[in-house]
Amino acid sequence: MDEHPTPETLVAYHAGELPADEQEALRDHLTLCHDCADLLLDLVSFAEFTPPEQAPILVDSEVEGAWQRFQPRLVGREEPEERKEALREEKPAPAVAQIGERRRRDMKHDESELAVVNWPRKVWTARAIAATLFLGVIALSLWTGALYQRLGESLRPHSSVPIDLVPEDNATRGPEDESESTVPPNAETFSISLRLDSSWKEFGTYEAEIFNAGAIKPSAIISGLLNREGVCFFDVPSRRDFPPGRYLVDLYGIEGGRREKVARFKFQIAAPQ
Amino acid sequence: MEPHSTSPTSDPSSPSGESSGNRWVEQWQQGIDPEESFRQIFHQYYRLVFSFFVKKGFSAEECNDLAQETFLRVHKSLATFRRESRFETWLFQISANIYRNTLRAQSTRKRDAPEVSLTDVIDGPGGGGGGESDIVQDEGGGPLEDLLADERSRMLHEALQDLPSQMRRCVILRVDRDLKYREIADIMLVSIDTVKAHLFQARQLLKVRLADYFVDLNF
Repeated sequence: MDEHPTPETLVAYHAGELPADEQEALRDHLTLCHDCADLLLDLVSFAEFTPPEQAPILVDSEVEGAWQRFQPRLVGREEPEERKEALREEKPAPAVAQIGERRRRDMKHDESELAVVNWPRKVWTARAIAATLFLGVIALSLWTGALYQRLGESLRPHSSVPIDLVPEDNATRGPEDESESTVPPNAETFSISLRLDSSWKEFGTYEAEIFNAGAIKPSAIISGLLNREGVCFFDVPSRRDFPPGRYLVDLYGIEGGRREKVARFKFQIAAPQ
Repeated sequence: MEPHSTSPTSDPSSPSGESSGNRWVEQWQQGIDPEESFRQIFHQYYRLVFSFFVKKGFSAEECNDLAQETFLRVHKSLATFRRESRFETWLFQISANIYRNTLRAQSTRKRDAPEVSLTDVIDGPGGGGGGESDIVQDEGGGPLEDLLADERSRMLHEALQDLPSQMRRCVILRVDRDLKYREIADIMLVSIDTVKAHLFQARQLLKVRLADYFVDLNF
């Protein structure tokens, strides 16, 4: 191998990926070529993440300083000094220079035209900026208004009605207790408390599915519920999803990735009179 | 800056052997906080790249510029880096290519520099002196010493040629460059014990062959 190996070849050699004859030839080259042998040792340093011996170590503040200087180059905000100088020395290409010269000659023939050519450009630029700003202000106002509306809705106190439910087969909840499981029609939202029997198996977390009686798909699924002193409590996310009617709540226990039905509850949402 | 005397402060490899550079690159390529990912890459490898250029003999300012150039190229090409290979070796390739391009540019500038006659430098403009014989002066011993030195050199060269190739390479790297066992092993892609064995056997063979020419072969 008479030619010096590329860094890519050295990487392949170091990884043992070269054919046997190329590997032997490169070994002969590395025996005699100090520069290439040194470069291979540098590769070993990189692969082992070990700076060469006797190399100075930068302290953290120096590395951070290098990063601060590097960032503007990353986003192209700052040109290195050599490139700045190169840009300054750069002359326009001949074709462009000729076009520029022709335009200057043309413009000199008609001074008024020159004035017309130059002035509208500036005016249009200013008008474009003004129009953009105006539209931006309008868009911002609309967005802000919508934001305030949403904020207002969220901050306005809800008339939240707590519904305390017991399991469906609980004998103590009869028709005379139906008022305790009925959401009045004017309630903007409501919360549900599911009473857990102490004899039931305890789970790490629970999940509740709320069905309109007779529906197949749940109207809402509430996950991540916890047993708080025998009660699973949650706010119903949106009153809009619950028109007047009868509803069922199936409670599931979640443990080790398995889901097990715990109990069924029922409630109703009264229709306006 | 402090002189290097200890191993690096952070081990970039995870217990599973995956390069941490590859992990940051993966995050960057997946668009997970790319600025922070690249900042981590920069902080983790800047010292290594900087040291590489220091070892090549560049000034501190040049090393900073070249290291930044390296990371600029890394950033531009990072989307195309394939994580099957290690980030460190890919980083080396970029650094080494920048180094070689810089050398090429410097040699071009030297080649384009105005030529000065060596005679003018030594004797002053207009020449003078006796030419090459005035520049190269033989300050050694007499002709007999030179002859014996040539003869020893020839015998050593012949004896080395007769050694097995890998053994010969190890001897040359040890004698010619005074490299450590570890460095010879890294260059030859063999173990340190293999290098030691090669050198030991070479010493035995050359002693027998060259006893009349060399008092002691020590390498």
